[in-house]
Amino acid sequence: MTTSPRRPQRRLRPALAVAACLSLPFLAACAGGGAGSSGSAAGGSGSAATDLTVVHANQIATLDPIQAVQAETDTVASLVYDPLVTYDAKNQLVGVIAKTFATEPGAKAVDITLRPGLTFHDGSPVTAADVQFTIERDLAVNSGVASYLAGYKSVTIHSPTSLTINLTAPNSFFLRELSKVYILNSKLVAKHAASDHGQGWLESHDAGSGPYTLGAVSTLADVTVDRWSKYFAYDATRPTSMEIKEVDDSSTEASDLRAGSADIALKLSSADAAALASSDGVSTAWINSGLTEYMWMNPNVGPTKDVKVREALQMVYDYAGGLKAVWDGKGETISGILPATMPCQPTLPGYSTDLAAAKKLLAQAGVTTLTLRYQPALAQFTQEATLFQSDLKQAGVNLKLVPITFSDWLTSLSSTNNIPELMLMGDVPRFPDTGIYLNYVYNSASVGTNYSGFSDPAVDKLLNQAKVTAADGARCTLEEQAQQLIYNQHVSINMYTYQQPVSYRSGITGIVADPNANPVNLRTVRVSA
Amino acid sequence: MKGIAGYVSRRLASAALTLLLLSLVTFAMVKVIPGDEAHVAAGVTATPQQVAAMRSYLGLDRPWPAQYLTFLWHALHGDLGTSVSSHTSIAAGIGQVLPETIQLAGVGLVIMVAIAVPAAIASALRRRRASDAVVRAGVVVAAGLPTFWLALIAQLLLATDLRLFPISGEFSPHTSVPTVTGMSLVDALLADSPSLFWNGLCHLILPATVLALPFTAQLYRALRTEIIKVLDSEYIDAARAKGLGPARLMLRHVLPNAGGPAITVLGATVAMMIGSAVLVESVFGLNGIGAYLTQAVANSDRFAVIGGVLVIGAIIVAISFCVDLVQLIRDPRLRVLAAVS
Repeated sequence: MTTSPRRPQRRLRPALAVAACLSLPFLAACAGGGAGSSGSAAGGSGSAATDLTVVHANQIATLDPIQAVQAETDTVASLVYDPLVTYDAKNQLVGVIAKTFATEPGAKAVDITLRPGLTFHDGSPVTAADVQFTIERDLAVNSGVASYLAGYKSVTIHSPTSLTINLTAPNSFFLRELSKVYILNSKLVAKHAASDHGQGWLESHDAGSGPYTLGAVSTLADVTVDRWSKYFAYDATRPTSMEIKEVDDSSTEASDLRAGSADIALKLSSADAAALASSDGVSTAWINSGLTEYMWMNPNVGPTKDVKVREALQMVYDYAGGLKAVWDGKGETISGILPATMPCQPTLPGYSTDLAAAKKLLAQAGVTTLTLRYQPALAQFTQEATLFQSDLKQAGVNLKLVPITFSDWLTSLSSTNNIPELMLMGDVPRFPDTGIYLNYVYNSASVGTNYSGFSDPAVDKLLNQAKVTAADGARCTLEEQAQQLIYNQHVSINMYTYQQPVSYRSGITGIVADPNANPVNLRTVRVSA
Repeated sequence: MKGIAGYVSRRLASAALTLLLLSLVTFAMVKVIPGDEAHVAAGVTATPQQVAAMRSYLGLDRPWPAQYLTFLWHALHGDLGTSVSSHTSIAAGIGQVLPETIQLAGVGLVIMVAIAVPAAIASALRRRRASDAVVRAGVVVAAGLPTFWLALIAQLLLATDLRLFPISGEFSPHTSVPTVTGMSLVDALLADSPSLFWNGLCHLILPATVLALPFTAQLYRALRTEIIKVLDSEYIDAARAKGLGPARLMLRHVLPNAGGPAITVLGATVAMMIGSAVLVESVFGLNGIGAYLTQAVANSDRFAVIGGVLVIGAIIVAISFCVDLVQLIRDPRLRVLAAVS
């Protein structure tokens, strides 16, 4: 038995027509008002012309500036908070909250005078007590930027605007590393300290003195900062507000930018940035923040213990080919062990591919197989690893590619025997200071940040000397000598630095490389009238 | 009645056991993955002393069983631990993002029902005809569409090119509502702002449709099959012979009797929707539990991963329990079975 479809069939068509008619106004309304535009992009419409929308990938875990070691947190923290000092475009240390600053001869103390008349966003004055509170609070939390404060002993407050930071041992890097320590409003944070030193409260609240104030935060995926009219370096060409939105998918970021519902897109993929080239009113800046690709070789165990093997491996990788194939040529090869953005570098010959010479050296050393660890989450790493595998095959060696998670790799750094014999990774110096970077990566005492497990007493001696040398010129000489020694030890395959695209709508300026940020610092963004 | 109470008690106990096992398995799996949460929490540049201090602070220097029992005890009190990336409460973090996913899945569910039920009725009434074949073919295609691909294509065509919908986010740029529930549409209504409600709805409709479409096919198929079965029943012939109109016949006799499997499918679908939301949230710039879990994995934030999985597990178990209760209420045969079992 089947049912008769006749009557319902006749009613179906009108029902469909009614549904279609009802959906049309909805679509029209969404297309008209919902598609949203900042209304704003500089060069866009009229009066609200300086409200920008910035889209970025990756979650902002917290706005507590102690976690400014994470690029996403720093994107917002650098707008809301001020550090004592920062770096200018020439990598020179300049004052922000500090009016004057100096490491004492002997490098056991740092003298700082604060800029007079500075206030936090709530109107309370910025004082030496706030500096002391911030440092001691960061050390108590013992996370994030606290690692930059190792060696802190005490603070001597001379007046509300003058203080001396005393160190347990000579350390000329301490002052420089303060550039990532944002000063907190001590009274406000103490009031909300609870049992976690205010971490819960600072996750979404403002205790800063920076050029922007933090708006009400309902979710860290959509944070708005507003230009603060009482900022000591107030600039009317800064955007009046910036809405910083998390959009994880690169193609969505590009679409938002193209449609005008975003004004600046950070962390676009190179392919999406290149595709935006044909869009009207959108420009792309290719930022070189010193982000460098390396393959670190463990000189303590396995075949890479032999310096000749390490030298041979440096001659295997196709530097120019890799840069072109993987990064579309957006970058540059490096001549030494550091990216060109870093100061104090000696003249070094650089690296070139010579498969015949590499093959001979590897055969002499009896190397037939090697293992490379890499993080497959990034497609470019996989491409580079595969390219190296292919190059190495031509040199007579089989390369095994083995994935590794970031946290597993971090764990491996605690012991030189556990560090992978070959590890592919990208790294960016956290400070534009050669001494700090060399100490982290090449000093044998830096367990946990010495990526290869490299150890050379002569290098350690130079770096330790540099650390206690307050005079910049003398320090630079020591660091150059250390680099020459490291270069001769063939510690890593220093592939190239690559550029990161930041796309933005017309009328926006200041999208430039910044020594304090990766890839850009939104503090430098300006909007033309 | 006593039998039914026993049945409900057994289902509750089974739900609690499921959650306990889930927590144990998730905890064990996360623990066997190589890596060091303490180093991640202390930061890449942390000294060994700082990492050791962090390990002690997080309780990671204790044996695994002790860590698990502490975790379980705290979880029972609503404390899922501290995130190693944000250093704040995981429960609060999940509480911020979960409403967004629930709202997305909720609107997706409405869209799914709005499409699947009329389509299944029409298809069943016109079975073996051309229009039925077309709808069924369409359903096969819809069921096979990968959500991520569908999201990208829908966004490109309908939002970027045709500009019928916004591209991403909860609201238009520089627009927000005070957060009360965390669900943008509800908060817009609470703020007494119809324009913002409309704005939020426009932002939600495309991602919700994309999320719903593959699942719509499942509901359609289950419902179509059941409606056909019911339509072929003798009591339907009797009702029709008595002169009952088609609308009344469908609403009073066909749908209530064909709805059993559909309700089960709906329950399972909500659970799967929450799992699939991660892809849709990523493309449409929505910040839900999927995005939270993805970032937790990327940041090696294992406590957050355990917390997120447990919360999703709890939701699925709760939905499954509710579906069983609804079936028990609407189907007297199940009540009899429950009473005697």
